[in-house]
Amino acid sequence: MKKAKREDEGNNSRISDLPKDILHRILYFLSQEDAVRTSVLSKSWRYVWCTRPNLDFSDNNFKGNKNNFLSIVDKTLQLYCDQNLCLEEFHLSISLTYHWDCTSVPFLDKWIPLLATMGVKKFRLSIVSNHGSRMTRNLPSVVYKAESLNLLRLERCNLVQYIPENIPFVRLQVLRLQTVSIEQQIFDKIISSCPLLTTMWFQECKGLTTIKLETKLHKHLKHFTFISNDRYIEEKRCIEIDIPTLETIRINGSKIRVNIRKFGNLKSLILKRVEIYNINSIELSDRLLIDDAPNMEYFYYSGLLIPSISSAPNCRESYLKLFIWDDDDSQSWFPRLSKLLHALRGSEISLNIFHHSVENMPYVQHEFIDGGGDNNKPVAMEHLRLSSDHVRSLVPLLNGLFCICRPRNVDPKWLEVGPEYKESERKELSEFWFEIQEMKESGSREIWQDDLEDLTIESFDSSRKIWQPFLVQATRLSEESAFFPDFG
Amino acid sequence: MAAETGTPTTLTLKSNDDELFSVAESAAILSVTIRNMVEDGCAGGVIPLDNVDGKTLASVITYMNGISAIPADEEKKKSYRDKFLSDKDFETLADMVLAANYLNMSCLMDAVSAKIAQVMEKKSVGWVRRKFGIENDYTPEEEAAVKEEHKWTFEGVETDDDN
Repeated sequence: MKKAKREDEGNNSRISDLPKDILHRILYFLSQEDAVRTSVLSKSWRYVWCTRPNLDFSDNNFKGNKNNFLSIVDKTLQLYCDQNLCLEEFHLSISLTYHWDCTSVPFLDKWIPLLATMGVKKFRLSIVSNHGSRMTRNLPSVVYKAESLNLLRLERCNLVQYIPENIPFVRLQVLRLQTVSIEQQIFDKIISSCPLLTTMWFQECKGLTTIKLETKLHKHLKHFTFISNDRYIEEKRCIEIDIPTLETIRINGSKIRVNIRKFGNLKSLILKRVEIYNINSIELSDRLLIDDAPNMEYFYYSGLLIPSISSAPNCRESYLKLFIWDDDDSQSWFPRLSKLLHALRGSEISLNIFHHSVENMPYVQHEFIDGGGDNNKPVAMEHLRLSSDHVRSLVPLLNGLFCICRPRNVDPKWLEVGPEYKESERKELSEFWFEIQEMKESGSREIWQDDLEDLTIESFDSSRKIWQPFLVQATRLSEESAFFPDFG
Repeated sequence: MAAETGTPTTLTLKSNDDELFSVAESAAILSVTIRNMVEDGCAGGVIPLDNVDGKTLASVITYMNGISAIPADEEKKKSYRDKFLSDKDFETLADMVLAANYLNMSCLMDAVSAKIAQVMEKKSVGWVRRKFGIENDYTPEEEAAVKEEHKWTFEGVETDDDN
């Protein structure tokens, strides 16, 4: 340590005194622009950047002419090659445009074999095709020769052309495909050629109908994401996952049939609008078999069916978004929900219910309520949010819900928010309040009222950020309102 | 080694200004330099660390204890590192990165390097010079020549009086 020297000179140039290895490590975390610019700092900095063992080029950051970008990448790579410098990592983010293909593809054709001869260990490549919104282009075939690929991200590319017999992606860890057209066969071939994948991300992949993942092929997979928000897609997609190393699973979209087994390391499970089915039957199932998920921290589910979970996961937070729909068995709706809440009772539960049909009202069977026992005890939970078109349906819905759960906050939303709705919102809220009062006074046989000591309605004053008691006739109601049941 | 005897072993580390520190072997072997000494059987008495001063060593040991108490969870380790480095000034960071390099602790080395790099990100040359007290020893002509050579890197940088 050059402590004495440092004290003589004050703090001047402390960073410049660091050994070159350490300076390289610091520059490692900078983009190419930032790293190269350090050459202007002082004479001792002049050549630090051009021997760092990694290069990081992105034409996103590049403000000048795109052709200039290509020639700078080319010159820099050539410099490393000619001087026999060690290049461990190469990161290239490039966009292909119509006018640009003829210049950029030949460069890729040159660079990718060059990286192999230079012994690059980690090659991260992002290709985004910008041919306008609908047009896509074929992936340059040289990409299939990139042996050192560590990350491959493709956006708006076609993967439908001929692919070589052997795909050398043995080091690929991250594969992200977004808005690509891909043939099922090619997809299967690619993922079966990448044994080290830790992260898979497939978003809006046209032509991809089946994903089947098994432990024997992907021993290292930790993160899986599948997103498909295209409502007009005709074919059904199937996803089967049987990999215990997975830590996060996120599947989002319609017409996707999902079967997941083994949750040993799973921390986060997000299923949006998916259909759950059993592997051995074509029947739709409400059974989401979460058997053993000791590490689960977050569970998100939204869908038409209430999933039934076979054993209680240990998660900290659960978020459920349930839609009551016409085909629902209205008699069993509350018992099924009750079961699910019991399975998740160890976590902080938020429940969001959408109900937009008066005809199809789930109802509470009195045998169910009176049955008692631990299995029917109301479950304590954090938030209950109700979205309903009619005040008429809100009261019986709340009735049923209070039989099975004890929310700390209830947030009913039955009208669109906006100043023009203020008046009708106030009217609806008054109606709701009267209906509750009426039920209380008539001593209607609703179990939750026995537990309820007091009920107040408060409105939120968004300008003053405070909750105020809601006076039925007099108060102007602001955008949000909620009420707090106080259970004894 | 501790693993063989079943009781936790404590090591004594000595800084270059002769301060002594006790640290659990299980935490200290995060340093490959110390681990090699332990494996070679040189850790019986006091381990002298000639390139680290007491103040820095105390800080490194706090880090060793903190990070080794976290089970294998990369996210939690990362947030511990972020928090640990959040209040450190550049002088301390420079001492830490030298110590981490000497002790061969790649995780600390990377975290500190990234933290220093973060300060330089998208900043003008003048700003970085002032921040780190780097003296410009170029003549104006030389500086202009270097800038011209790498003209493309000066687009879109935060502007500065002496950029």
